[in-house]
Amino acid sequence: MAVYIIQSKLENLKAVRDWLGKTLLDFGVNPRTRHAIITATNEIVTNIIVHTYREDPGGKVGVEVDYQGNTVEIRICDFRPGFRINLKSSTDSESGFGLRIVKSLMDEFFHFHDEKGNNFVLRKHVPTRVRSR
Amino acid sequence: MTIQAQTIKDKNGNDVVLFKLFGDLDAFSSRDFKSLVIDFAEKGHSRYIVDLSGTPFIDSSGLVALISLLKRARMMGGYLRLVGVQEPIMEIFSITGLDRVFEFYDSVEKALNAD
Repeated sequence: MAVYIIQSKLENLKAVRDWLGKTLLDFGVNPRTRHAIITATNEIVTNIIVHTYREDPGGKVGVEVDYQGNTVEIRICDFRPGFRINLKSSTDSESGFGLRIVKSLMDEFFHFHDEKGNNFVLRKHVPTRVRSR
Repeated sequence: MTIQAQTIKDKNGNDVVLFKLFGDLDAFSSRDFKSLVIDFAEKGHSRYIVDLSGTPFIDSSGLVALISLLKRARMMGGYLRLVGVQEPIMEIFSITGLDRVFEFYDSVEKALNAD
């Protein structure tokens, strides 16, 4: 398992993608699946920065990645208790593309809110035979 | 991201703005791209080619920026043609149905010579 925490600034998106790409490479995930996971994660982190924190750089976003069996699981969270993000309206506000991309690329996707803030879980099944460095 | 912009001629002798993008087109970098597009649009340009061969990543904000440019071009009777879209990015266009909206070309030369 690996964890990465950023300040809620859009300029940090590239750092998240780079970190996640390297972590998935270390896990042996194939390039196509890496790109899918990175793209979906990027959409959720962007959503949190823009809609939870309204780009206030004082906020934080956490990304956790784990690879168990043949499934990569990504957990993305904000740290804003009491603010329940409206996923549909926030991702549909510009184009609706963000949510569509996440749902298309991931095998499982859900969102819940707890006492710490919003949590997003993405899961992608990786066929063992295409795992590679 | 780095963006290069230059004006060239298409096969009919019309001015075409060629944008070459180097780096990821995401929610952060797409703002610079949008600003540049507005600068050119306000100068009356309506024909655009965007070379994405140097762009390994695009997100929904990047797509929205390209759609914005496409709308501006069409409103003024022009066009937007995309060049060098890499396979992982093409999948994002397909997922969102935008593969049926944009015109795609292998090279700038082919985009310039298209009807």
